[in-house]
Amino acid sequence: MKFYNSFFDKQFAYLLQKTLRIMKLTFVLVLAALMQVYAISKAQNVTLSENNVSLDKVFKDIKQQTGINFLYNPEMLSLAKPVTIVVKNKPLPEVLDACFLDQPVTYTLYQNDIIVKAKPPINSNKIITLSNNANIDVHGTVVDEIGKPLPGATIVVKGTHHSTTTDAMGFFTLKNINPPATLVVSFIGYNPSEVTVSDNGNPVLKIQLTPSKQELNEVTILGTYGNNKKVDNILGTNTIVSGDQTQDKPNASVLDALQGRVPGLSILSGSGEPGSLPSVRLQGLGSLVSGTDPLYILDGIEVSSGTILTINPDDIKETNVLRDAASTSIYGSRAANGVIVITTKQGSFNQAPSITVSSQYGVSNLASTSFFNAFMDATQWKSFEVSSGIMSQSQLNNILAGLPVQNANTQWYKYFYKSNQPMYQENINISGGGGKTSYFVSGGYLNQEGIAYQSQYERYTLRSNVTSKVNKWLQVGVNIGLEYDQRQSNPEVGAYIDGGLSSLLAPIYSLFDANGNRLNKIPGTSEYDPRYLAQQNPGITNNIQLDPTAYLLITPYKGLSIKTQGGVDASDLTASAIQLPSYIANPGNGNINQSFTRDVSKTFTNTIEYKFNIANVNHFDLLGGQEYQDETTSAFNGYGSGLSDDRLLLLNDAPNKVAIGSSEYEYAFDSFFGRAEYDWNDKYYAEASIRSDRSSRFGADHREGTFWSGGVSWDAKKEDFLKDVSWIDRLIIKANTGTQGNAEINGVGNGEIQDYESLALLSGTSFYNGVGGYSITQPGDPYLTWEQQQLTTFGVDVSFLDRIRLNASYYIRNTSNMLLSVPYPYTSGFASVTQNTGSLENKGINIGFEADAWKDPAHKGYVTLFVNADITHNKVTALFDGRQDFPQPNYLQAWVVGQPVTFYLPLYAGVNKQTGAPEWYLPGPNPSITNRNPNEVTSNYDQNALQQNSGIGQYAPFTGGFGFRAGYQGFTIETLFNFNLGKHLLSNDGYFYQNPNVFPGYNTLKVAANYWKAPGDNAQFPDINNYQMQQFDSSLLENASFMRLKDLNIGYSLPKSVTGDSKAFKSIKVFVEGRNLFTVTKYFGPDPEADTNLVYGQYPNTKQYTVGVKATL
Amino acid sequence: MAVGNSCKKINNLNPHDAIGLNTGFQTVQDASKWVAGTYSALRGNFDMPQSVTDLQADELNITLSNNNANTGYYRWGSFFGADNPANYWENWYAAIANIDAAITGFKSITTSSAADAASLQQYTGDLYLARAYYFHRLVIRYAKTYNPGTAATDPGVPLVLVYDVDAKPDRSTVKAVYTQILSDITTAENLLTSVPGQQGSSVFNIDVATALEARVRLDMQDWAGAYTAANKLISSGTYPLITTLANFQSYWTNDGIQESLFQPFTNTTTEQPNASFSYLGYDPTLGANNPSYVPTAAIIGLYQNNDIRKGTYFASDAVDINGIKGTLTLINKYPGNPIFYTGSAVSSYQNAPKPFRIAEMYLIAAEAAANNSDPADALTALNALHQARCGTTYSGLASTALIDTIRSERTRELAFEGFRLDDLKRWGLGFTRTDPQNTTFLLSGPSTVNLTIPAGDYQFTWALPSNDLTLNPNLKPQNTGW
Repeated sequence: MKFYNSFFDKQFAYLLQKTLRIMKLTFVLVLAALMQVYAISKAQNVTLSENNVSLDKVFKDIKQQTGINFLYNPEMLSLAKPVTIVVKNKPLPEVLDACFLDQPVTYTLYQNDIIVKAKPPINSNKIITLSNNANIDVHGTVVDEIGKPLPGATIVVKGTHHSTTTDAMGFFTLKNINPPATLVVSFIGYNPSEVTVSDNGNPVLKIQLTPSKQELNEVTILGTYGNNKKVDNILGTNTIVSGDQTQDKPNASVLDALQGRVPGLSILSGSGEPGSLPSVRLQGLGSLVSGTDPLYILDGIEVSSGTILTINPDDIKETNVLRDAASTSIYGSRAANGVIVITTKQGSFNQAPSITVSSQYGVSNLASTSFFNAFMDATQWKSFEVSSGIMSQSQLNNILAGLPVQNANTQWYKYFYKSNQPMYQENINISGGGGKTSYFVSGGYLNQEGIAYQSQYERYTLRSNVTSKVNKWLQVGVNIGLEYDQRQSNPEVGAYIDGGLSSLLAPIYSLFDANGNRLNKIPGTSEYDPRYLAQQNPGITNNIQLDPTAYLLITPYKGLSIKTQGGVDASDLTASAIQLPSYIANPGNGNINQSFTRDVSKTFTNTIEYKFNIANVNHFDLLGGQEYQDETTSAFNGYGSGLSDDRLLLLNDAPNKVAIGSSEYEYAFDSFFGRAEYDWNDKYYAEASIRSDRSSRFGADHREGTFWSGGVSWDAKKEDFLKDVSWIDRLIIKANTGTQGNAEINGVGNGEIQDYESLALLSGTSFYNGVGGYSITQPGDPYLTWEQQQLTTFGVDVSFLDRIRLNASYYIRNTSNMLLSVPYPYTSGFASVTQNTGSLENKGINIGFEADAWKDPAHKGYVTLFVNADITHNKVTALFDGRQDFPQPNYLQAWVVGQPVTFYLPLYAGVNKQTGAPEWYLPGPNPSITNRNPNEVTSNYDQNALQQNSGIGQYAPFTGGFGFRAGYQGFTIETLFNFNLGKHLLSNDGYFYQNPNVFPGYNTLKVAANYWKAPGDNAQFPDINNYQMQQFDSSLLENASFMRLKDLNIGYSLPKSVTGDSKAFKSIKVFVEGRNLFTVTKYFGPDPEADTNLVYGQYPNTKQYTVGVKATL
Repeated sequence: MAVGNSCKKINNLNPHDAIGLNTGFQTVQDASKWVAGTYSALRGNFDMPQSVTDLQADELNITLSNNNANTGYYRWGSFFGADNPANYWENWYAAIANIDAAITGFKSITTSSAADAASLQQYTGDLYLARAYYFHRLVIRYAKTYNPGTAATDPGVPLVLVYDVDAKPDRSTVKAVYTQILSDITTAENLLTSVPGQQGSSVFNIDVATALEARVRLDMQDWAGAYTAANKLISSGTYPLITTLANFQSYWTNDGIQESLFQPFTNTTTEQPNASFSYLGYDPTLGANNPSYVPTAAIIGLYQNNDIRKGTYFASDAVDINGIKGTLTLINKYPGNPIFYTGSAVSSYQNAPKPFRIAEMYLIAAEAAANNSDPADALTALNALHQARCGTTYSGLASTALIDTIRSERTRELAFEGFRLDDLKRWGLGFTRTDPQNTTFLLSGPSTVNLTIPAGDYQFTWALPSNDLTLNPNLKPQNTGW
């Protein structure tokens, strides 16, 4: 941001604002009624007496009695064991289970048929020796291949409908099991595992699932290309955050909940506006000017960061953050800033329906008020204004005389920010599946009021994810996400005294008249009651979001899968801003500005993947694919004035239809890619990928970019010398390198991605006498092409003692050919031209650490400590035109070769004790070398002449999060702190708030009274009579390092003794949640979290308390 | 899916709101659009009301409700940063870049009829005259006053005459810049010779070219040339001076055309003029005005009571400034043309700019003649204007008294039109900003109401933008003092 040295009031600022009548949208749900349930009557009983007969024979006998067909390939039964069974009038499922016990085949019930199919590979069973037959309770944990808990896994007692699912920590308890019993543990994307329990005690199990080589008998997970988990978990460096950790949070965006949970992922929420998106960066700063947002993939479809806001966090199964070349290069085109893959929940086949209902209520307040309490009160201010000579006593008396309320002492933040603003959240979802179809359906509602006026986010979401096996070789899936929201965002954020800078209002003014009536306008000022202003200038934005995707998966031969997927990320957004005719500042002349924006991005992906083995130990996985994506954004708007009746507020009612307009932008990408993976006996892994992308955004002859990766990985635990080392559970060492591209060309100043920057363009919209006048809108650069990055990562994953899990990686990111808006001399006619130039380097370490300090699965007891950290060093390695430095005018920052982005401004040397003059250090001959020589100072402020390298960087080199999770019986507690160390922020607010002789008549911080008065004074500020109190210099530069209690969650699951009586409830959990409960920082302004070079009039962050309940039926 | 037509699409995406620069010079109609773009930019760049140069000069005071907007210009010294006026440099050079591209491009347009050829000739003339206007603004604001003795060595501004984004031009001399301005005006005069002047013309014509020539030659102390050009327009009789209060008020309020050689086209929808809230700023909730700038008592006192300018340029009215109520004399020269605020009782303070008025030609003629030892012609021109405004004439003035009277008349006539600072600089005068109306309402503190600026202060000439100095090694030196 550029700095501001003046502010605005609303009196004549014809800023267009708000509204549309609140429209309650009723969702009409059309759900493909594909759900199939157990169709065979469970009441059907059979009687069998078989002795050592083939399975085939048993099928025939059953068919004879029941009429049910068995469908199977006779070859499959060649390995089946003979069956001996004697049952009389037993339910069919029970009989079938007995027959299929220990067989290499299994079955599914489908309508009136039984389909016999090969069994998925079963993991090694733990067998606990038999003693007696009393019923027992079984406790356990289910973990994934790296030992991380798997929440939501299903555990069924084989042959019964006795089942449960794991909780957020992967724990489960099954009561009243009659041993010996076999537990079948399943989880989507993993091979099912069977565990036989034959114990007399109450055993504690640990069941580890391995990722499945997907066959048609499972619901396909849409996410990364193909169906290979190896890249995710062994070859690549990534972090999966389960949906359990990001749902039920008092923030609309799932990104907010990711803060501090992923090593290397920096997320900063600098605003208290509900529905605002945080800034997201992965592993340092990828580019100086072009986009630094990661690529977002939702169920296999690229979506915009704005779409992330519209996803109900309750629908998210997991968020996978891909951080290295092995994982990201296959995404080529826009993967330079990492990839965040969001996968929504699915049902599974043959799963009994599960219904989850949750409800949450909370309140928001200012995260901190200490800043607001640092302003002068009325008595202090009156005496300060006169004693400092800013106004004469008579001038002050004149002002006071005109006020209806004498002796007011107003703290304005109490009127500009509301307290205890409510937040509601309601969610319901149903998931399950029959033999051939699985489903997940959910609905959600969220309503959050901001603490400022005109600040609100209300969201309705609906999701329907359905997967169906059409036949043996074809599976189809349709995921549909629908969302409707309405947003209001406070328009006075920034240098507006009606909002962002309201603390400038002197405390002598009051919102009330002498009789205590609240007034519309604050007497003595040009400002309005913020409540009145909001009522008179309504503005509402509505968004309808549609995110459908569908795929066909064909598996014609073993190991071969062909997938074609198409999806859309689309939104229709209407915005309306109205100034009512009754608004006292402009009576009888209301205005309305309405706009409609449609944004449609389509992605089509076709992949073919072949997995095969040679000599059992050589595993190959080859993937080839093609992808096409395009996006069109079109908009139109109308503006009219002269509205005269508050009841008639359409454009039709405006006699002066002043302006209409429309716009349309498009871009397209077309890509081909391939990947090969190989491993020898699950021990040595190698991967290589290549991707070629073409983008319409670049010069005609420079559209193509080719990106590649190569990586190796070693699962050392599989080696003989480690196999039997019991304290090491896992040890994987990996290295990979690869290139990625960036096509997110940032426009000059406006922060929007530009689609036509390579072209020299003329626009014809500067009208003169009705003729659309030409002007050159951009000079273009026909050579414009991809920004390139090479990312190299070395990593290690280790778990040991069954308690400690550590992943660490070292990365080197080299960005070259940066898409930089190169500053140009104004004499060229342009302030900048976008070109490929300059380079940037990021080096850093990511660490993810977890330790189970205490575990007691029998009581669901645990304490797990975790730390995620990123230490990064970023520096500019080359600029444009061979320059060694470039100070950005008005940004108070510079790019200096060999250094990170640093603040570049006059360095304040303090006040001269003898003269009271402010002093600044004179820069040396090379201003990029800091010169703080106390003998070389000046009192003549000149921003350009005095600016020099402060050596202080904006971005925090050390970021992360830490906390613990703990539980005992039904209680759980989780805390998450996140921290940024070495972050700096320039307080443009300070320029307003401690500059009383530039802003006479406005309030000021108490510290401003500490100005020089007589020789010898050791004052913070100079002689107020002769010098401007505050200039743009290093005294405004503050250390914005902070540590924040981002998340505190305390939950209690009601015991079965309470819920057990209810037939409906499987579990009920109550919880309280707190966000931003406290912050440790030296930063003085309203909030240290803002991710920018400087701040003024920001909407400060909020803290929330919520209570919630979640029931599973 | 969708493999087939994707390649085609990637190679064929073009913006919907713009066309390729290389396709912009095909027909005479294209040429008319380039000229329309030039005029449109000019309309936005004429900053007559609320000109920052007026704020920097001695006729205004800033009130308490101004909120630091542009106060740097007002306070000078360390309050006035080198980059404060950078946007003017940027805007003017951006306009020149468009003109340069068009001048070159027009040469590739072929015409098929005599009418087309005439149009193309006129359009080319418009471009040259606009370029002369911009270079003149640049050289006045960013270089030393033209001094015949040193102009050949004084650094001027870069002469960018060809569209070339990558050019890194150096500073041409003041003399070279003025020579180029005159050359562009001469080219324009030749091309516009058959486009006659008319009152309130919304396009350039021979008279506008002549008026700019008069203004430029006065700067260059080419007294004879300035007089000849100005007198040519005066004697044409096309633009008679207004002599009654009602007509003069109507001229300013309702955007009359009688004295205007050029008045940019405006309409009530897409081509509205810039607004000037800061001189009045009537707030219906207060029932009073809340201006940011008010005139000094000194400038008000410069007018006789029978001067129709006094009743037009000023109005005494209620004010409520940060809660302080009272009555002040306010600038009412730009009260807002009612056609721009239909439907509302409150003015939108929009008036069409009037950058070339015949009154200025009388003042140029008078000043040039007086300096050229021709007091008779000087007095003739001065009295013609004074007679029209006040109904009286001067007599017996000579030498210094004559010059001073002409300067006073110029100050009165052209007040708040953006000329004052340039005039002080050209005359080599300093000022003391004394005699405020009522300090209770005014921004106080260092260098405000009692500011004294000596003649020749370096801040009369603005600084070259640091952006250009940093990026263009050929651009040097920075102006003295900055």
